Amino acid sequence: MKPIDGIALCRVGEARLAFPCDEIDAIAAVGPDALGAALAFGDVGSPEGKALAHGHRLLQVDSVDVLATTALAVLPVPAVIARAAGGALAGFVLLAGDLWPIVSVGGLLDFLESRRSGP
Amino acid sequence: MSEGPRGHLVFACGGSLYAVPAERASEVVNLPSLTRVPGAAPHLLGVFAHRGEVLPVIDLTRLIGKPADEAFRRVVVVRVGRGVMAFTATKVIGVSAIEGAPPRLGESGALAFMHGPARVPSGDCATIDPEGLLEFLARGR
Repeated sequence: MKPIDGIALCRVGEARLAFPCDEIDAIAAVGPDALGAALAFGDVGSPEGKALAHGHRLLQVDSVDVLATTALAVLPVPAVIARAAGGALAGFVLLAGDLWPIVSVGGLLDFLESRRSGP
Repeated sequence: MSEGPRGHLVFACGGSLYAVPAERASEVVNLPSLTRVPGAAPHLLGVFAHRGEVLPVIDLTRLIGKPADEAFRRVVVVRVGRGVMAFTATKVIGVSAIEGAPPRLGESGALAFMHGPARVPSGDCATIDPEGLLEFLARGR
């Protein structure tokens, strides 16, 4: 298990997503160009929320809580879901009994863009 | 040349019977609340943490294109060399000996890794090739 430092814990509807803080340039207001993380779950998503800036791209989530923590133990991704979301899954963390998927911001944005543009 | 009888764990899901080689079925656990996985296929219901590892839950009925049946309460944890997965089960029947290898249920998709019908005391079942199915699912299908 590889340790990580600092993650953004995000809610997307009923789902949870965790993003490494070192991939987030800023937390911004939602703009028209933001891609909704809810699409990764086949959901439409809320019109409000926050946007995670990654370079010039924005990823929309419902809420963000930054966990500026010391090293967290990361559980590996099972083989059968290694290619989910285009391979953007980096592992899982267990926090207060809840399992959070750790996802690459850039990888998830790539996946959402590919899904939006079709095969 | 026919194979000798091999112990399989037989379980029901969505009105059908399935069987996995008994030596690959590591345990049966009650289904906890699941964590959704972004970008997952519809048959991947989610994951849960169990004994320090993450287990993906596969709904067999959705995997083979049948209407979803949400009546399952348990999962059969199956472990092979490359990883682990958990199959939804409405009822666990028990271990039965299955002789030989019935034909594949399909030429492509997940059915290519299921064989049947195999006769067990509780009826006809489909035997699952867990190594092949895991490799198939790991390719992102």
